[in-house]
Amino acid sequence: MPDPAPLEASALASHAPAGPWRMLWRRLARNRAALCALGVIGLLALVALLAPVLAPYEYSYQFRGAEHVPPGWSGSCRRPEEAQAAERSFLMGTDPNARDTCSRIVYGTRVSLTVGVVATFISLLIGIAVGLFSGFYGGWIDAVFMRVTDTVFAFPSVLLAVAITAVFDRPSLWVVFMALGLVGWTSIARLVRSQVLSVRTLDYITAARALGGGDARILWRHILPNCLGPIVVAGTLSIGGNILGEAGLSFLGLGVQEPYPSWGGMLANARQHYQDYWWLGVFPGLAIVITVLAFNLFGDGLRDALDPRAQK
Amino acid sequence: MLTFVLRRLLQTLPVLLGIILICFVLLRLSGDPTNLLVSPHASAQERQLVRERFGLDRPWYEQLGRYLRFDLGLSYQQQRPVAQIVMEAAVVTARLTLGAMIVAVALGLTAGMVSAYRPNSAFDYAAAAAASVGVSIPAFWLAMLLILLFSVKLGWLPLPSASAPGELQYLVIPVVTLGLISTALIARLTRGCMLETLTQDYVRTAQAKGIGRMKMLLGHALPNALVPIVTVIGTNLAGLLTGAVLTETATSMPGLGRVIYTAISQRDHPVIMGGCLLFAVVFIAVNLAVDILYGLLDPRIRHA
Amino acid sequence: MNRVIAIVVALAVFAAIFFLMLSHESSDFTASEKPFRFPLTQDPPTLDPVMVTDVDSDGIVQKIFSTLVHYNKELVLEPGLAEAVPEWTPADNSYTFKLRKGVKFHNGREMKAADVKYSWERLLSPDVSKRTEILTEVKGAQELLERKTQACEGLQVVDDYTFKVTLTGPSPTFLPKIAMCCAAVIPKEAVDQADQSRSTFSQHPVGTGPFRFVAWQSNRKIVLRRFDDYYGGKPKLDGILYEVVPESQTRLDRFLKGEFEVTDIPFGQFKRIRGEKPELVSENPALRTNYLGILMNKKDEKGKIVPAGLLGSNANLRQALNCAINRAYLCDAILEGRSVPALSILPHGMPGHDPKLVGWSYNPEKAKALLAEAGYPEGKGLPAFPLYYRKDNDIEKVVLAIQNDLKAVGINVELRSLEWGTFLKKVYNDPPELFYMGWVADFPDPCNFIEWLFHTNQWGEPGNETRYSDPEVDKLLDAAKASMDQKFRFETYNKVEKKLLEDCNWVLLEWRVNYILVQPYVKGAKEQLSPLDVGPLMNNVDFSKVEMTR
Repeated sequence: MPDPAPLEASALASHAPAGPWRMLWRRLARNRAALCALGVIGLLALVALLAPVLAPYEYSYQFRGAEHVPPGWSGSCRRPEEAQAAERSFLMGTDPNARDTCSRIVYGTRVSLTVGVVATFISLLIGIAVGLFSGFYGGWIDAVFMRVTDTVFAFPSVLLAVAITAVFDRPSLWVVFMALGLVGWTSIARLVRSQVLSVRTLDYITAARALGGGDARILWRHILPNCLGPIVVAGTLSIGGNILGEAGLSFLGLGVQEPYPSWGGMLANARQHYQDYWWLGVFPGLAIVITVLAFNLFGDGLRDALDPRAQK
Repeated sequence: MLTFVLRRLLQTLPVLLGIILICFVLLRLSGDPTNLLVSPHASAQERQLVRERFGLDRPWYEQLGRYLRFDLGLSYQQQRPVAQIVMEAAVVTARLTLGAMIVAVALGLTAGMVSAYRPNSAFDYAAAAAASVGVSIPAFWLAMLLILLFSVKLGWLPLPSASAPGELQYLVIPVVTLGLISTALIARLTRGCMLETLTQDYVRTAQAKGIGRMKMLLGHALPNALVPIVTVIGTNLAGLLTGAVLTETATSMPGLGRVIYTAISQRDHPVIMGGCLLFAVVFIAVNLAVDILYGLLDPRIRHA
Repeated sequence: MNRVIAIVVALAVFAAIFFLMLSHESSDFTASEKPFRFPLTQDPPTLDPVMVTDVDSDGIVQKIFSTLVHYNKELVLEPGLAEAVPEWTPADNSYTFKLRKGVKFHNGREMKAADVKYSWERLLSPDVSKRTEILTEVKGAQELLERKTQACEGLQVVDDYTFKVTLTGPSPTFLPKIAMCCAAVIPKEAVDQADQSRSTFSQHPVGTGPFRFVAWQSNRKIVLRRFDDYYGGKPKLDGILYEVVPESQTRLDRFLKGEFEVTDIPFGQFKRIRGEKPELVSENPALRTNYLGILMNKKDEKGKIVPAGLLGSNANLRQALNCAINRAYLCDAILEGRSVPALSILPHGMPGHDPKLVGWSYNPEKAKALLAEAGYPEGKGLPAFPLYYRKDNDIEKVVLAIQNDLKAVGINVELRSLEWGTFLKKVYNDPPELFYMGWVADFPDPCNFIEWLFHTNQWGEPGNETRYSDPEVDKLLDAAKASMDQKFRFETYNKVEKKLLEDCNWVLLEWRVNYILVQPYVKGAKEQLSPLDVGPLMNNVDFSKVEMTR
């Protein structure tokens, strides 16, 4: 994805002064890849919202007798009954339980986006809190928080996921949220902390304090807004990471509960079928790649647009 | 520098204790391992004996105390010293990781440099696209697709085998899979840093004097790109273990990730503990090395 | 520029370390030797006979060790280390084993009666053994288990080649149980040596079997070599190589490339392979019944047994569940023809299995009628039952089909998958109303199913996971357990089975057929497969007779 070249960026300075959000948008709008990615994300959100309308069938409906039927258009039907079933037009074929892959992919958008967003939200909540306090207060609070961060950073998330499943004693989306969210916050905490450290000693903070602002007020009104840019970027990028994380947990059998469809789960279930029933592996795989790619590209675009060096 | 290293080493102690504590709490929560240690028909009396044998009948603080003294003991399942089990597996993972890092640095630097040499060229766009897709692919899926293509269809590489984890041809697919994300990140960073350096005034001056672009890239831009690259290597190691579990499972590599994962499903507490500890030690050591390298690579950074 | 050189040097150093770390595995067999190669899904938990509780370990241990008696292909007991299968002496409730002379351990020493005594007392030591239940009926076993005595009085060395076992009473299952690999004979000095070198016998197993242990590299491979002095004659194979390959697809790919002699068949590929390469496919019935367990009873605060939940207290509902499941579809479409519908509790191939005993067949109309009779016409007012199962791709396909069938008659179930350890914890400590389970026979006797899984004494963890309890049934089971009259026993078990089918605490699903792939040049293995062989490891096959003709 092409970075906006710093030379072009200087042209911005000649524009009339505009609000920071508008500036951000303008800079973002010139990054075609990021814009496309935003479009894809919007589309995915729409698919997730309208899944019941868009899905050709119900995601858990089993078309008995039409087990692993290839996509109708692919011409790879081998058995006569497959060809017959294909007439019912399974756009992306069916799985071993004779469920329509396309409908499951459409509903799977809900899981993937929810996992991505909620896990990221949990990470952000913990990460911002830890980072803010650690950076703002320093001293022993910082030391303790940072050691905790180091510890979790060096900790395998799989173990956490297994333990959480065992505690909840049934798998649910929450297990996936928690497993990913409780591991992912460390990098955000470090990021926020370093941001806080860089603004803490700036004059306006000293001024705000001189005016009698309490800690909470200073943190909330003055420091946090200044860290927002990098946080938004990190958050966007970690959505993609969490979607991949869900796929990994599914591969290890710790994913979302069937019959509810998740792309990671579909991909993991298809691993014995790549050679014979290619559609079972290809479509969920592509869905994951496209979605993660979209969030990553958008995150990159945001970062470039927010990069203070580009504003010189 | 020495005091810095010492201080960092001192800081690792609470992290290790923290790892033990978290592991211990999670293992307590995940339930009594006795069910997986006895035959399904064991009587209550036999279960009690097994609990006694592994010290599971002791109060929790005694059990925790043993771990805090780094006394890991024998694996519940294999009845072998934990250290032995963990070290065997660690060699495999170390080989994988090192290979992945070499691939990532070599490929990433080259791709980034070529991209920076001719920005906005066809190669630049292709490399950028490849990098973006590379970080968006589920690792186990990629490994399986690579196996399908190179081992099954083309027959260029052998199918995964656990009996020869040290032979080069078996390492190709796991190393590439594991190194892909880092490759993409390094390529991107290299390109970005180099292009940024090229806009600096002193570089323009030098260019005006007629120093070639290639020489500029190698002489001035590359060294500046090294610091962030070293950081990437350090931070990427964190995601490695989860990555290693997936890659090692998909490619039959008997590494640390798989050992920990198997131990988790067997509730083999000492092995889980040992594996996590070893991983943490390596992780801390690498990050320490990265911090020291910082100082060497960038004279501006000096540790107080 | 210096720094660039530095980084190049650093890279070169790392690369050098990497290449130094590469190792060429020294081959365990010479080029002219041809080992028999098995794939393993994961490391076996143990190679110590007294700790074996799983199919994989059993398969390997049976190649290294031998037992006094063992089952042949027709599931008839044959002499192993004993010269003959002993007769029951009713006068003092004993068996007298005459041992073969000249049987050698892998360490070269001759096996004698004292070794059998040592091995079995070890099997009765709960601090090493996981299978003490095998010898519980031996006189003095209980005292030894409770550590009241040092030796077991019922195990008696008469002379070097005569070994007498006294039981507390008649026990028809004693011989079947000691045919299990756990009762194998092992040399004391090998165990002591392992202990002294701070290792374990599991890491250095020594037995009297056709192959001797060479090496076990955790998570990689296990190497066995031919034992030339095997009492059954010099084995024909050079050795056996087990390799851990976690992915089923990789196992199949490597088998098809000729890198394994046998393998399992991943789901999704069975029909194609059977169509394209029928000569590779081998089948045998397996002593396995898969079912949905229904929680019948629970103990109230006073320890009294009372019916548990809606399903436990309503027989019509349980019958409706049984009628609602389309087993033919399950076996043909979901399981790709690898199973047959289960008609009764004892699987096909099991001694005592009565083909005339037929439980419930698929009849959705009847299921709906039963549901109405139970007070829930069309499922109205019925809560959704959580159905717990072990997280596994293949099991998941089965429970999904079940969920669909039940929904069709108006019964809703909510699927809940748990990973194995957590699943066991749930079933043992806080049993759910519905759970998916399978049971594989340890030894071919109906007692292993009917008594172990349904007697009130087996409540919960020991085997009666559905918490079935019926005083009438308990009485019949006790009578069968104490009789040496095989005909009476089998009739009694069938009587109990009939009662169980009426009470339906199991929703019967399928009997598994064991399908594996075997290379065409392997001779003498397929022919020996029996219902005791589950999975691809050919557990019960006498491997000294197997050869490869290439």
